[in-house]
Amino acid sequence: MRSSWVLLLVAACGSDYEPPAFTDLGGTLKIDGCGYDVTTKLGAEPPRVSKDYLGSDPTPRLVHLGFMGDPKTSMVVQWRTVDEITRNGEIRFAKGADLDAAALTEKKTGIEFGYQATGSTIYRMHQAHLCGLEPGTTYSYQIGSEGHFSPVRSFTTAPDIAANPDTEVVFGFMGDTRDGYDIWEQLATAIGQRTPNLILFSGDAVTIGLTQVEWESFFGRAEELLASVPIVFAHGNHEVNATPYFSQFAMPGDQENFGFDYGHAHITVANDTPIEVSALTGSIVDFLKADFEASKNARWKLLMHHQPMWSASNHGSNMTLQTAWQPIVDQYHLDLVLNGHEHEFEITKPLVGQNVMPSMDNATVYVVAGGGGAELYANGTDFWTQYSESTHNAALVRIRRDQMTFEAYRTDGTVIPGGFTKTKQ
Amino acid sequence: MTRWVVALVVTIWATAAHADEQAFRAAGELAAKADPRAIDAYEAVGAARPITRWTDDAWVEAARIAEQQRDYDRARRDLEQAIAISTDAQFLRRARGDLARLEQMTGGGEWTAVAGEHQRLVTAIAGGGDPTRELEQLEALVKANPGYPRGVAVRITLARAWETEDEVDRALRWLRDAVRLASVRTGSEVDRARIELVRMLVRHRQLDEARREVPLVTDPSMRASLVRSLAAGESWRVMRWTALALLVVLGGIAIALVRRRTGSWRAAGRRFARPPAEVIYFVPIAAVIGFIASTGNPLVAKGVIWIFAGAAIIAWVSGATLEAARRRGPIGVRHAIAHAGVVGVAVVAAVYLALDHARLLDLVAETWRTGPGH
Repeated sequence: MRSSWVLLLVAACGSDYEPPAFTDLGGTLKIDGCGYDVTTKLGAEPPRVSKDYLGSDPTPRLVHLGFMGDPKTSMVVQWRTVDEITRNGEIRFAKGADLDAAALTEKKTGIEFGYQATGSTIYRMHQAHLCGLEPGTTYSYQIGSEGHFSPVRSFTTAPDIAANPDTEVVFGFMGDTRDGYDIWEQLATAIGQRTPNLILFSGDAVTIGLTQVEWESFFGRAEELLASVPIVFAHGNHEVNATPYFSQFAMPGDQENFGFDYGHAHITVANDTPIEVSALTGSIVDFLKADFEASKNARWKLLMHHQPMWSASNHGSNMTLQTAWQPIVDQYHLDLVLNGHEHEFEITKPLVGQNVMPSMDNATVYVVAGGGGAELYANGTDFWTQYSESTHNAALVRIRRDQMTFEAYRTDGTVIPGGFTKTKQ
Repeated sequence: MTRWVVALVVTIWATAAHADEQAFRAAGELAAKADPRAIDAYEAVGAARPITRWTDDAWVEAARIAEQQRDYDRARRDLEQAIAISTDAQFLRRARGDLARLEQMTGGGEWTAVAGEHQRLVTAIAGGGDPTRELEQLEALVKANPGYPRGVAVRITLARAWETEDEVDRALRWLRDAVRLASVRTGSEVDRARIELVRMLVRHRQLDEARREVPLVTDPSMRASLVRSLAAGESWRVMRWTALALLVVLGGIAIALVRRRTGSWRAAGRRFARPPAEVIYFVPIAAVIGFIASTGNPLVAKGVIWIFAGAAIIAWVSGATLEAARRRGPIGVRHAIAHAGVVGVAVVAAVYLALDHARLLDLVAETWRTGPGH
């Protein structure tokens, strides 16, 4: 105990800043130049602008990307430090791919906040919010503090389809990695080789959302990918609405139910295991209606949530969601619904209501790609099944203005049957 | 004059771009119908001149279809065409990544045929029905091509498939072979193969070998995770032997009681040969429920069928024991309660063994911890 106080004193040497004691009531911070606030939940500190306060080892780790504003013009870089007490953090960046550290001429100060998982340890999240970026542009960056910066990495902002209407965007899609992080690492590497713009993750990254050690594996094993490609995450039942979950991702809105445009796609994300179960048939239905209505002119419409409305595997179809959500999905002619929960791969025929449709026009395909690493479940088939297989898997969704292609892969790189191309005039 | 030439060039280019866009969309329509002509249609857009903004996209789409059709050489050629003409940095990164991936898969082209056959066989194995023939073909492919770059991955695939077919020894042989092959190749694949091996050994309660393999896993967090699985596996194994011993002891006691109550081994044999009334009632109901279960999740079905088989045997032995007791006079309340208690213990032991045999224990434990919806 004494030695850690000495360490703290030594570390703080040269700084007048005295960090406030940990409080777990959460809070809000307005991010200058971005037009949005960062809000932390109960169990976390209020976010603060980073100060000149270094711990014993401020080396950045577990770097990963997200966004809270328009993905065309903004990006959030998130990381932790080895010592977990450093309050100092900034980003250096510049336009261009794979630049030298010396070429990163622009700087921005980060923000930070502590949060608790199980036990009394306080984990400290650092974020750097970049706004006013150019669409479809690659930037190089490094984060950290003086003398302790990360390697230089690159990210690319979402394209501006008004300026570049034929551009293609590629989404990597997977879920349910819990306790199978060696497989998650393989899949993340395989998806990374296909240069996606964005990772869509359908939940259950960890066995229990409060267990920080599993989150370390989740971020650590895919750092190469997640430090270059932003991730959007749908809350799964195993995240249990825990503070570590909300603290480690930067996503739009309340991080549970939100929608955003990316290329020619509008992607809606919903939490199907909210704290209040009644929200499934109440406020989340209202949110879905509002979001689908606001995005009804989008060329391609995708919904991602955790528990499938249609599945012939272990848990079967979630009938609550099928009853409450599918009529809205049908009404707004969503193209693709992305799920996990079942540890297998499953893709439906085009569906409207309870009916299999002869073509994909105005019908929805439901995909379960919950084979991200967790122990596999047996697959099943039913009248709606196009293809199912009990295998670890990850998928790619490629979207152009007039064409969407879906394809899934096993860990050995072979292609899983059931992929499709859908076109629109 | 110059103005007219510029106007003419712009007009020609705009016309070509419009034509390419129409042709690109038409190729997309063919691809959406899984029409094999889609690849030719995309390649035609790619080959058309002048180069328009659709040219590089068309070559990439053609390459993707070629890869789907397992024509990896054609996919590589199409990607090279795209890379040669594109000026878009993001596009080039993606196309070069795809080309590198294909080269990793097929070497310099020498593994193209093997990679194609690998994809075909894996698809056939996963496609339902009896996969034995394709599994044997895949085994032959692996043995005939020891240098195949995806040799470790395909061995893991073989092991998983044989495990699904309940050929556990054969599955484990392939995983041991994957570890051996990976050991002479790259570092990361060794851990990958060994982790798969340990997991399968734990699933099948072959814990001594698993215990020897775990310390050889170099990744500390995976090693810790495997140690936890091993500890759980050891608890399951102790419980399995306890349950089995309990059933053997209870069965022995039942046989001894019937022998004593009937007076001879021959009479005891006759008593056991005659199905008791509870079995006559139970078996048809169990058969119907077992049939219904078999139409759903195969693991659950297997568990249900084993539970009913165990329950039928227990009901038979219990019924025979009670019949023999009744021959010596009415059964008292204490006797009935004790009998029911012992049968209850036997049922619990049999259910445990059935769940263990059907590899459902983890699922039941998870449902217990996190609720039925999870």
